[in-house]
Amino acid sequence: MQATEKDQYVEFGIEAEQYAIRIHDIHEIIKMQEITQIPSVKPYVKGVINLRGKIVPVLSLRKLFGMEEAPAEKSTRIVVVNHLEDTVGIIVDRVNKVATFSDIQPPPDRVGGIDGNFFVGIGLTAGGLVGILRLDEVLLHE
Amino acid sequence: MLNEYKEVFLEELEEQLQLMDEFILKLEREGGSDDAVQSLFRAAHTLKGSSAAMGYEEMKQLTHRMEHLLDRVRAKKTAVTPELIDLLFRSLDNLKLLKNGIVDSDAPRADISDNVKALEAFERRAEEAATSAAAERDAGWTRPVLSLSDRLKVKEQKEKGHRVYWLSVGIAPECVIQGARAYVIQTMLSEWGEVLLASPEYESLEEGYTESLTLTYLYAGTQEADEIREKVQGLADVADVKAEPVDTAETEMAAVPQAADKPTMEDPQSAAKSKSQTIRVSVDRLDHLMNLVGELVIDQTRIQQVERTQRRRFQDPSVSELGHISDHLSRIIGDLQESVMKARMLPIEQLFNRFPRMIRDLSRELGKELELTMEGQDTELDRTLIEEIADPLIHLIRNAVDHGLESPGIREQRGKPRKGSLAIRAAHEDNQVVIYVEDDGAGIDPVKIKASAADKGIISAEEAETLSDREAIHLIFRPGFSTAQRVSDVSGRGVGMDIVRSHIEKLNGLIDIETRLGEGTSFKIKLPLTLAIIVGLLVKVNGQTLIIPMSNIAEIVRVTRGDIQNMQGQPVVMIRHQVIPVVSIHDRFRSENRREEKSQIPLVIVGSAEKRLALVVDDLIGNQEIVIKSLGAYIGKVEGIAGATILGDGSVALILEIASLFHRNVGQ
Repeated sequence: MQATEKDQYVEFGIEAEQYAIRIHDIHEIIKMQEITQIPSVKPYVKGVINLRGKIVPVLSLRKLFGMEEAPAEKSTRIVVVNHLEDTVGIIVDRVNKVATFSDIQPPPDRVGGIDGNFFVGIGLTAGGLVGILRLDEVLLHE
Repeated sequence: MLNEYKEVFLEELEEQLQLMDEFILKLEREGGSDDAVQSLFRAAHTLKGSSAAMGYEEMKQLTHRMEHLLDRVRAKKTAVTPELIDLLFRSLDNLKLLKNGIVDSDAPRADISDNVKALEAFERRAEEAATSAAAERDAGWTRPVLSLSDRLKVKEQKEKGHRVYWLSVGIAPECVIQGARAYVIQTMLSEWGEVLLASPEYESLEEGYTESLTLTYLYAGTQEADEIREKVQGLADVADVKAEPVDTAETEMAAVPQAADKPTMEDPQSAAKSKSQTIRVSVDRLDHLMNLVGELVIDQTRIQQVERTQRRRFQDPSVSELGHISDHLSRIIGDLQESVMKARMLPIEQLFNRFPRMIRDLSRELGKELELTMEGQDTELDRTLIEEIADPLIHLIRNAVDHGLESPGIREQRGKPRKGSLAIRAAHEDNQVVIYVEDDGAGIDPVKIKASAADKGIISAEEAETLSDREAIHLIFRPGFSTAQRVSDVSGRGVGMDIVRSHIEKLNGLIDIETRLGEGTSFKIKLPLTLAIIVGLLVKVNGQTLIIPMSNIAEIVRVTRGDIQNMQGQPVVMIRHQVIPVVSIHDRFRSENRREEKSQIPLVIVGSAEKRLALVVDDLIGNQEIVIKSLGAYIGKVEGIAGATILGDGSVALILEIASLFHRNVGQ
C-alpha cells in the first residue's frame, strides 16, 4: 500500500489524535453495534457483529495502541475496511471527514508513544498531523 | 474451459469406475455373464475414448488393453477365469490410482507399465491356448468359471445320480460350417443327457470362423466317460474328444464370500428413462443456494421477532396481517429449505457400493469367510457427510474383519457357523442418520484392553483397576492404541479407531459400542443430516447466548448443587448409575453481569463421539434451527467455537464446539 498525495482518505479521531485510512480500503462506516465477544482471541479483537447477515470481526484501535478502553459514545463509529479477503471493523471515537494530504512524511519510529510500524506515513494538513494507518500491520498485529 | 471439461470427465470417470467395480464382482459371482462382460467392455471403451480426448495417455493405454481383452471375453474367445478376474481388478485399481493422479497432482504416480504388460501377456496366453488345440490336449483346457447357479445345477445332477463331465470337442480344421456343427453336437448331447453349459455357444459361432475350434461343454448324463467320448467321436467333423469328470473343488459353493445377490437387475430401459430426468448441478451452486436459504431463515426469524414486539405494542389490524404473512413466509421458507437440503442429499448407497469389493479383497487377504449384508442403502444424507464418513466406516469394517471376526477354524471350534456375518445398516432416526457396523465375531475383551493400554502406557496400572468395563472398551479410541497381535496391512498401526473418533467428532456425531465377549460387536454412529443448517439449543452462560448443536446433546437434566459431588478433585454427577464429569465454561465467557446462584442448575449432557460431559449453563432458552456461519478467516479457528449464527434479534451467537470441551477436560 503506497501512500500518495493524490489519494483520498477518511480521517477519524481517537482521543485528541487524528488518523486516516485510504478511502479505497473502506467498505462503509456504521454506528456502534452490539458486539458478541469471542473467547481466547487477540485482546484487541473485541468480537463480532452482524453486518446485514455477514459476520464481521471488530477490533479496538484503542486497545491496539495501548490506550484505555472507553465506553461507546454517540459519536463512536465502526470503520469497516476490506483487506485482502477479509472484511474487518475498526472502532474509532469519531469520524471527521474525507481528506487529502499535500505532503506525506515517512513515519518516525514512534508516533506519540505508538509503534511507528502501524503507519505508512504522516499526512500534513492545515489541522495538524494525521497518522495514516498501515492496515497490514493494524489488522494482523501479533 | 479446460477445467470444466476436466470436471465432467472426472464425474464420468468416477461413474464408470463404480460400474466396473460392480460388474467385475458380478462376473466373478456369476461366471461368464454376458451382461456383465458387455457392460465392462462398454465402460472400458467409453473411458478409452474420453481419456484419449483429454490427453491422459496412460489411462488410454490401460483402458485400451482392457477393452481389447474384454472384447475377446465377449466373443467367448477367452474364458472367465479367476486369473482374469484378478487381472481386471488390478487394472481397475490402477485406473483409480490414475484418477487420483488427475485430481491431485501431488498424489503418488501410478505405474501402469506392469499392468499393461500383464494384460498383454494374459491375452497372448489366451490366444495361444485357443490356437493350439494340442497344448490343451496335454494340459487340460481352460474351462469357464462356474457361476453359482451352474454349481447348483451340477449339484442337482449329481444328486440325481448323474455323472457330470467337462467335454472338450475339437472340430476338424477342414470343417467350414462350424456353427452348424456345434449346433448338431449340442443337440446330440442334449438327447443323450443334459448340457449345463456350452462355451462358446453355437450362436456366437455363426459368423466367425477360426482355424481350429474347440468346444467345451459341461455335460451331465448316465454314461461312463469312455462311452460318451466314443459317442461324440462318432459325430461328423469331430477331430478329438476329451471327457473329464468335474471335480468337487470346482463346484464347491462360493468359496469367496459375496454380498447378498441382487436377483433383479434394474431394467436397463427404466434406468435410462430416469436418467434423462436428472441434470448435473455443480455442488458450488447448491452450496450457494443453501447459503441464500440460510439468509432467508435468519431474516424470517427476525421478522417473527419484530412481529411479536409489534403485537405487544399496537392493536392495529395491520399487525395481525403481518403475523399471517410472516407465518406463511416461514412455511414457504421451511419447504424451500427442505427442498434445497434434499437436492444436496445422496443415498448412502454411493458409499456402500464400495464395500463388497473391499470386503472381498479383505477376506481373501486375511483368510476369513464372511457374509456381508447391507441395509438402508437408500438412506439419504448430505453429500459432504457421505464423503466425510467414508474413511471412518472403512476403518470400522476393516477392524471388524481383521480383529472382530475369527478365522473359520476357530469359529468352528467355538460352535459358530464357519462364515462370519458382517452387517452394515443405515437408517434415519429423528432427523439424524444412524449407521451400524455389526459383526458376530469375538467381541471386545475389556480385560485384554486394559492390559494392553497399561502396557502401552496409555493408562497406569492403578487407573486400569478403577475403570469399568464400558470405560475400558472406550480405551480403543485413545491415540496409539491397537490390540492386534501382529501389525497387518489391513488395519491397525494403532491409528484406526483414533481416526474414526476424530472424524466423527468433526462431524458433530456420536459413536457408541455394544460388545459381548464371544458374540460380537456393534458400532453405532449417529450423524446430523446436514452440516449447513442444524438444530441448536440456545442457552445462557454469564449473560451471553450460546448454542449447543442438538446432535451433541444426549439429554438435559436439572440438579441441585448437592447432586454435584467431587471425585478426585473433579466435580461429577451421577446420572442413571453413570458418573459424568461436570464442566463449566463460565470462565471463558466472563461478563460484568454475574447472575445470582440458583438452587436448580440446568445441566446439558453433551457427547462427542463416545464421550459424555455435563455442561453447566445458567438458563435454557429453547431449540431453534440455525444456520452455521464461519467466524471468517480473520478470526480463524477459535478453540471451543464451531462458528456463529445470527439470532432473531439480529445479534450474533456463538456455537459451541462440543468436541473441544473434552480435549480441554483431558488437559486439566
